[in-house]
Amino acid sequence: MKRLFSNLGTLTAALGAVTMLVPAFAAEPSLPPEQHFGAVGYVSGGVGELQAKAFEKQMGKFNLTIEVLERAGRRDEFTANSEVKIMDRLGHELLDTKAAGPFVLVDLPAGKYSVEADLAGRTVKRSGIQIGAGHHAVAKLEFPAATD
Amino acid sequence: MKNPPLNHVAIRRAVSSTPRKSIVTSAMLALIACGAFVRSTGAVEAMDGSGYVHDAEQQLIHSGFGGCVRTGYWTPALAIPECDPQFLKKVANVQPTAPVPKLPAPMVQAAPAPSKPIFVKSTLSAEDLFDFDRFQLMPGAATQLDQIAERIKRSPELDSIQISGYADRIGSAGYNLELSRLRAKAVKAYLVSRGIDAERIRSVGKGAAEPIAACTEVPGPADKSNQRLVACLQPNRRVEVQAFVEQLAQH
Repeated sequence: MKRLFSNLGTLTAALGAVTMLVPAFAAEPSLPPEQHFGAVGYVSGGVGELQAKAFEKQMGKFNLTIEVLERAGRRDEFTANSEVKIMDRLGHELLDTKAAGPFVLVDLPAGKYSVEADLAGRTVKRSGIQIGAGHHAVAKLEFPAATD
Repeated sequence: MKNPPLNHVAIRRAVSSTPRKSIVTSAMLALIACGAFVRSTGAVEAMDGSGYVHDAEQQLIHSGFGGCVRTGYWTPALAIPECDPQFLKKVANVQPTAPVPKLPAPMVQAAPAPSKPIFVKSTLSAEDLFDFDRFQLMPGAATQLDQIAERIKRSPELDSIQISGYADRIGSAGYNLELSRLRAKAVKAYLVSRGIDAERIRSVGKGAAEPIAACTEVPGPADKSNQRLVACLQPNRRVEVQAFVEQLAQH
């Protein structure tokens, strides 16, 4: 139905009045709690502007950032709920998790890895991701544009 | 514009630096069948016809902003002087002398005396719960959600309350589904914090489904500045609260 009215004046007044009463409402989210898959510690998420910012700010605390994106026109868009896997060079699975958002931050021992994301029956893989001491690696997994 | 490595977030972020007010007025919240609708024999007709929400005593419900609360059926034609005098004036201006055609009274189907309980669903509208790309409740949401919490508390017969979160169409389908889930969860958590039993409420995400505004004529989302589209799609960033109420047969 078409919106026929919008009383911004009243709204602004009401916003002002309530803001004082509920200071906790717009608290800046931090990273979600760290999870473990075997010996590997990781966090995933990044849905919503505030949480995405938290991930971008704090990705340096982990040595690998995996971003799962989907092509849309000439841009990439964030995804959520892809299945993300990390394999070592022998093919052993070190992580297999459903990413709550576009980001997975992982701490891995130095070495070479491949990463993979599955989303709606499609798979994108990248190999040769080098993790070394004092080095933060970023692996972007980009799905081609979804066909309608 | 943001630095190049973060270009992919631009779609979700493009308006983050704009003043809040331009994009604020966001969500639509729908509420709930109240006891009044279901206790009377005419529950279904009342829901079909009434433009405003009444409580169990047939008194108009007023929102936190002092206005009446409109039902999903509301149109300017249903405006009443107590709630929306401005629409009455507008209607009068548009058709100053046109005779109102006499329509036959709507045929109300005489329902056969129901032997089974029927379920009545109702949604009401409210606004301003979420900003673009956010699932945190805006401060202004409290007034409306408190009102909803009170209504649910006063109506123990309301069960299977479903909170459905929605997102606009900017962004990938999977992302928007998750965002809409988080919006529904945020509203559920708020209602639970106001004393509603969590067991009574189910929250679901519906992504960009069932849009209220299409905005097909507005450029974006790949447009350099998608602010206009973001503003246009505002009604879609919403949560609907629906309650299904068992209505027993009346004789």
